[in-house]
Amino acid sequence: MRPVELPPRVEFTLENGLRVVAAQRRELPLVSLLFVTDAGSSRDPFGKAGLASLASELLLRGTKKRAPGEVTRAIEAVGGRIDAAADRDRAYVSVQALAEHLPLALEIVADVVSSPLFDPRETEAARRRQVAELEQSKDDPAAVARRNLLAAYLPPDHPYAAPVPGWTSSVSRIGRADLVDFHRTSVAPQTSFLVVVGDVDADEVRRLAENCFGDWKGPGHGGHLPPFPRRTRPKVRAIHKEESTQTQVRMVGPAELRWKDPIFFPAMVANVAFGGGFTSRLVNEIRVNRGLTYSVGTAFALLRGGGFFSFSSFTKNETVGELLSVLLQESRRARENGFEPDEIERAKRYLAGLYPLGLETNEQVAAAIAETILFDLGEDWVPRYRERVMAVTPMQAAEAAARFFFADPFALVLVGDRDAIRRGIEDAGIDAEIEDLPLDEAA
Amino acid sequence: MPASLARTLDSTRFPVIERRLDNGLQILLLPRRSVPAVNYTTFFRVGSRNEEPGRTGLAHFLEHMMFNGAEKYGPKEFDRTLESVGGTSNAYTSHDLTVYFEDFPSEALETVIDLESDRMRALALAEDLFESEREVVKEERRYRVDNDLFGTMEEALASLMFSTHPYRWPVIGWMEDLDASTRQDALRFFRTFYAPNNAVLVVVGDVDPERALGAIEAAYRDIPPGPPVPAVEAVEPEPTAERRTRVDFPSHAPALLLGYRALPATHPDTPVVEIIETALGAGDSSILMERLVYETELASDVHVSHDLRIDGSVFMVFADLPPGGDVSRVEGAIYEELSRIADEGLPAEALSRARSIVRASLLQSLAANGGIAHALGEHQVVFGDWREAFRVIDRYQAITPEDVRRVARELFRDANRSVVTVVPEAA
Repeated sequence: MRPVELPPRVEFTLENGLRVVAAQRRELPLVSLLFVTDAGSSRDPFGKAGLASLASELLLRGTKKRAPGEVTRAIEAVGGRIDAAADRDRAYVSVQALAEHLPLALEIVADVVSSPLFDPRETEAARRRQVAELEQSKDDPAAVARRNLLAAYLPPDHPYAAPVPGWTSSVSRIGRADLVDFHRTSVAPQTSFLVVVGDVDADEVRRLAENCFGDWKGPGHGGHLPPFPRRTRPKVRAIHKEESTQTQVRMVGPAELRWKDPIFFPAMVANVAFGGGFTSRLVNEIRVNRGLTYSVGTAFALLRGGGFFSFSSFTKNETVGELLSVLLQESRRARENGFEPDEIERAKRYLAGLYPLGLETNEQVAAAIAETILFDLGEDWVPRYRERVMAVTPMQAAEAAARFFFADPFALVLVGDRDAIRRGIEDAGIDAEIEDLPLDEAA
Repeated sequence: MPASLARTLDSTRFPVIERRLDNGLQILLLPRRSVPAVNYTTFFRVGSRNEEPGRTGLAHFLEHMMFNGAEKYGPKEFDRTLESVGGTSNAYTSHDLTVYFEDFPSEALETVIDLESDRMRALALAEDLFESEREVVKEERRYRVDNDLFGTMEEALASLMFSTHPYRWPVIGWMEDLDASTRQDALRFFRTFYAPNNAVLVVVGDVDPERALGAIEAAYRDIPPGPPVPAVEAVEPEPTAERRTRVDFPSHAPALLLGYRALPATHPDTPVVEIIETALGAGDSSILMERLVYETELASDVHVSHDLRIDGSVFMVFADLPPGGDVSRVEGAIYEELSRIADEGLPAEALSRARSIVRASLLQSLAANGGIAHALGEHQVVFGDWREAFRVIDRYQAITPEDVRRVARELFRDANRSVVTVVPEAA
């Protein structure tokens, strides 16, 4: 295997505490900027879920020197693109542009993160838009299932319970003062960093960053998240949707796993062998052998306050029970017996082989650099990733399966026809607390 | 145009090696060492436009079967072999094309050549796998169409827009046709359309060109050419009046989908339509986003797309309305903007913005092996020359406000329009 390297990077910290990383890649005259800040939805006050998401969207709708609309107009006029979004732990602003527009791109990012306007009319409009989008999402069974995943597992007041865009009820309660306050207390140079990748010169990035971000001040904050309670009994959240001919199926369980744990790589490999790869056991048993679905997948979500392992699929109403039975049976088999050596070997080669493909574009390289900063992964993380994958043994993968593949009571989210869901739970012999949630309360 | 961009988007900067084997297979190869990986994409000039009524969805069904065993690599072995050398594969079917692609580490090239040439030479189409795959495809249809608002509306739009041409049915096919298709149908389809003379192979990435070409030639050269591919002769009559339907779908909010019949992909005015598409819908500061979402709040989101097709492209505007929103007001506002372009063309600023965006997106697509392979392959298949991917940049540059006006006036005629709406019952 030819080694995979990140481009050499220059790192510096501005006087206000903002960390900046510049990495030069000269193949195309493009640049990618990624600004990351500790302002994710887990900082939403209980009852105002959706605040971080709305705040991030409004960054692009006007600043103290740019009227609403002018931010996107300025960058799109030169063929660039700007996006802002939040996830559970963080908020992001990213720009893709021609390298010659680096000064404009940096200035705009600094402007939107340091002095957003939260214009009253724009704020109201954005809130109405977010509520409308949540209403519309009720028509998308996959979106409903996805957004209810952690809500089904966690108590409602846990900071990770609500979906990032919030609920229609919580978004309706958000006012301009909440947004201004959230931004003032959550977005600060000390808890943010900026990555710039592309056909740029590190000295120029430093000079521009000092100019644009130099005057920005803000109070730092400590991130604190309560641990989440484990369930003692499985739970099913059943969401009835009229006229469904297919049921969306999601399962989630806790996975106490961090990037730097020794079991991280065994867990990644075991996931590929179990449900992450196209020749995994679950794809084989559910899709290939039985034709029960078009799509099957499993994944880890490693959040700052704890990790989760989840399963995702869908099937016609008649076969919900069969799909669930296969899932439970295969989970038990993986936990108890692990995997065959050839399954692990294939999973390792697959993971290692695909790794360089995630490092092709400036955007991908910026994301990889951000990951190493966020999880304190060290300079050798990228170059040694493939070697660490290849060192995983079947025994280690079995241990990861035993720990993480729904070993503890899980939560199940089913979105579809009420009767099909009930029959499916019965057919699979699942003994669980069942919560029937009306579709109108599921978004 | 910025000088750095002009230099980069010059086709001579892409030293593509071209070969054609005696059996007709066209090969484009571009060595590139940015990462130690390769993209290997096979384009077949076949899609749902080549199907017949009663057997719709066959092109896509066959795409699924291409992963279910051939002569040397039996059932389940394609993906297992590929994953075990660290590669991944996928495919898609459109109205015009079926495309298979693999991404993998450089050292796996020979395995991939072996796998791909095996299934082009002798696909197995085993009976039992054909039956289980039929169920998988039906689940895909339930997911993408029957239980999906946009999927349902798009299917209704095609039925409105086309009465004669195969573009009237969905790529995934009608449910009853999925039930009716047989292994024999699939085999006949495979023999007709999956021959080397109907394919273009594009390899981009970290390869030694001479060795790669040698291995490709050795693996593919004994695959016999197929008969000439039957031409698609159906000609869609010109529409004479607006067509309209209201779809029944259990929805929480209204939605609107407009379709206009646009030009064949190779028509010289197609880049003008792309500029109009970009000005209207690309980015938050586009004409329709500003007017409908930010200024008037008539819609919560708008998507403009221009689906390029060999026999006539489709220009679409899709709007999500807030609950209780008024579809006719959204329609009215959209028609006003379209008429403005048809009457006045685009203001210089909007034209320059659109040009900058299409150029930048082309450049972005050239940042990864897969993006390059797609740009080269699609243009080779549709235009007969991969260089068209770069020539279009000069075309964008030459477009005048008068071109925009002329093309928009023809495109946005009322009679050329089809309208699909969804309105919740309570509204």
